[in-house]
Order: sequence, then structure tokens, then C-alpha cells
Amino acid sequence: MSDSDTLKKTPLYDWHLERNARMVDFGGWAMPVQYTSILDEHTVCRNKIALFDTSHMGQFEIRGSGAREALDKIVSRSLAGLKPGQARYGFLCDENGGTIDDTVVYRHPDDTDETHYYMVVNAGTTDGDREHVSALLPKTVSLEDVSAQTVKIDIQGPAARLPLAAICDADLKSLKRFHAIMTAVLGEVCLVSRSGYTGEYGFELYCGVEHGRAVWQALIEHGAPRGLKPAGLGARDTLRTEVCLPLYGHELSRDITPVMAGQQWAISFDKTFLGVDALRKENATGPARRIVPFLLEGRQAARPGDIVTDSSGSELGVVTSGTFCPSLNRAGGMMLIDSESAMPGATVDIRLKRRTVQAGIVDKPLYKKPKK
Amino acid sequence: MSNVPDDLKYTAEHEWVKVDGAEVTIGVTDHAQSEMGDITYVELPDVGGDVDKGNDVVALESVKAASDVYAPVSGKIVAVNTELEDSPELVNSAPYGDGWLVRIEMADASQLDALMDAAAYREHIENA
Repeated sequence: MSDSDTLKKTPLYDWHLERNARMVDFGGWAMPVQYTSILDEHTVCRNKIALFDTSHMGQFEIRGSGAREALDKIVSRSLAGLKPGQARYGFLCDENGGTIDDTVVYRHPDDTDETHYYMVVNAGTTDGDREHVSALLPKTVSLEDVSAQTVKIDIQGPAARLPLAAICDADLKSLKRFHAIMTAVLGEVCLVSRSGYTGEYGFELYCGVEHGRAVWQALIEHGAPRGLKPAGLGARDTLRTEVCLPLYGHELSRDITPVMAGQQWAISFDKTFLGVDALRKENATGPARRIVPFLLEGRQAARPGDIVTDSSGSELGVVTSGTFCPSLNRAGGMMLIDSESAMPGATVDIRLKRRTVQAGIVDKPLYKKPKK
Repeated sequence: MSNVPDDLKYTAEHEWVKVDGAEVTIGVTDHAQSEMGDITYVELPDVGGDVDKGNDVVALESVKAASDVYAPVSGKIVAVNTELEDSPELVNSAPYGDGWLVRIEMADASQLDALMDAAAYREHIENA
């Protein structure tokens, strides 16, 4: 890449280059989009184990007396009743209910009195989120941006626990979804979370920079005999699209509220937080436009930005995410369209570059894990 | 270094051309399929239609992008590779064999003179 000198690099950048990964600019970061093949990396995640470098994301340590109460005024989801290590997904909103970012907030595993929280945010929005949250915290609560000191590794897939168990003595089997522990991985303490962004079983690891490189290498070595492969952002996108997980900038934005995105489950409407008034109003009347999943008949994909119309050609909205779905062998995605037309079972038209295709609106997820 | 068979002709846009009397078979090169990544969809033209040199004749889609294939010569489409409807990945796994795209009956065989030979194409991709 000609301008990779100006892009930010994760601590694992050299490793990706050594493996001849195809690198792309993702939100100002030089990230691997694929190592061998997006389809291959996607399939390995669904069937075995995939390893993702997600160090471009942001992490904040939030500490101080009154931290929980302060965060409850900023994040859409109630943080009351969280056990140490437990996380909740929610949103940072502006006063209009517009989404500033989506976030996972942990009550820190070491916390004893609701004064220590760990907030994970998206890559391109880290700086804005830091400013936003910092400005709203009282003097007793501090925010430390530890993004630059953190390597984040996602290990995802049915067999994801095995390579991690080889370098970590903790009882990973009993770690519940959206719970984290501080535990030694390869001899040094990391935050290990049972969570992910693929629809598969797996973990997200948060390590120091030098140590993170060693952990990545060790997971590759212990995982390879079990079929583990490194996977890039291309597969990360097809995986999350298939299970209809929103991506900030696509299904969530300043103009797409969490209510429009169908994420009411992650909004505590009876709590006072920035944006709740607007979200309550919007939820009561129903949003004018909604995000819904869709499937196409064939393999040709609709892409973000493609216009959605009714059968007579009147515009209904736009595709927000769209791709060939490797686990379905057909194309699909999500769209933001007029709520009256956004009914599962309905069909709409999508204007592709050279022709118009019919799309079926469905319930999420597009891909359902086959029952054992 | 990607595969560049000696017995084929090539275009600057990474198509290969196999001459067979008055007809040519075309496809995309190993270099092209590698650059594009996994092909997920191929849009082929109708058999019997005419095509002009330089116009797009086939549309290829990968997971991340779409790419047009241009006709290296003018003529009539006499065959298309219908295998690619269900197995577009053949373009990746066998770009010079089972991943062929269309066969064209040439309107003007002298258009072949403008194509590159294997050595020239190898240099072309090396300098890219």
C-alpha cells in the first residue's frame, strides 16, 4: 500500500506483512482484509478456529468514586447489578438519540465497589468517544485511554477454547457469555472475555503490547494443529453480517438511532442517560425507518448504498450492509427502510449497478447455527 | 510469481486469449484472480449476442468488489461457461482451464495482432 506510512499500525502489523496479508485502510488503520481467502477464513471460523487482530479498537479504564453512577448517565444500558467481570452492550448517544458509538462496558474483574470499569469502543470513533465520555464524567472519576497499550485478539470458532486453554490455566469452560476474568495467559495477566463479533463461541483477549505479540504467536502455534487460521476484516464482516450484528457507520450512526437499528434490548428506557428522552419518544411512536435483514435469491451481492425501492420504483431506503454470505451460499445483508415496508416476509427491490433484484425481508439472524 | 502460460495471448487488462481457428476462448489470468480474491458471482452475456473490442463482456464479483472483463476482440458470443453459475470459484482455482469465461467467433482476426505474448504480459505484471 503506497500510503501505509501514514496509516496507524497495530502491534501485530509486521506479523501480518510476513504472512503476505492483503492490507487495507480501515478507519485510518492498516489492517489485514485477508491472509489467504475471505471465504476460507470465514468457513474456518464457523467450523474450527479463527484468530483476528482487533487491536485497532479502543479501550478506556474508568476509575473513581461514583464511576458506576456516572457511566449510567452516559451509556444506554444499566450497569446496576453487574457482577465483577460482567459486561453489557449498549450505546453512547447524543441528546437527539443519535448513536455516537456502540460499546461493551465491563465491570472490571478486579472491582470490589463499583469504582472500576473497562469500556471497549470502535476503532474510528475512539478519539471522539474519549472526548465525549471524559467531558461528562465528574471530577472524582477518571478516564484513561489505554488503547495504544493494548493488543486485542479475538479467537472464535467451535474449538476456540482449546489453543487458549494450552496457555491459560483458568477454568474457561465455566466462563459465561459476556463475562471476563483477569488471568495469566502465557505467564502474564490479561483480561479474557467470553464474547465476540462472529456469532460463534469464542473469546476476546486484552493484553499488553509486547505480551500480546507473544500470545498471538502462541495461539497460532497451539491452534494450527487444530485447524486454527488467522482471519482478516473481510471474514469478520461476512461473519457478523450473517448474524445481523450492527456495524457502527452502517447500522448505527448519528442519523441511525439504536431504536431505528432495532436494538431496544440494549436501551434501559427507565434510566436517565444522555439521549433517553429522544429515544423514549421515538420508541413510543415507532421510528420512521428501521433496519431489517434481507436475503437475495442468488449470489450477486447488494452493497452498502444500493437504493431500495418498492415494486413500482418508489424509494424506500438504502442497503446498509450487503455481501455474499459464505455460510448461506447466497447474498444478503441489512437495510434501512420505511417502517411500513419493513415487515418480515415482504419483498422489496434493490437497484444494483446494472439491474434490479428482488430481496426478501427476513427475521434475524440470516445464518442460524445448526443444532447439534 | 503468477502463472503465465506461453501458448496464450494477453491484454493489459489481464484477460487471456486462446486462439482456435476463427474462434477465441477468453478468461482472466492467474494474476487477475489473485488480485480479485474469491470470485462469488459471474455475470455472463447471452449466447448469440455481439460484442465490440474493448466493451465489457463479463462482470465478475468478489466478496469485496466488482470487476469488468473486456472483450479483447469484436465478434459473436458462441459459448459461455455455464459451470460458473454454481461454481464461480473455478475462476480462482482454474483460471486458464475450467474457469474460462466465453468463446467468441472473431469478426476481425487482425485484432489479435494488438495482443501481448506471454513474455510481454509477464513484464506487464512485473511492472504493475
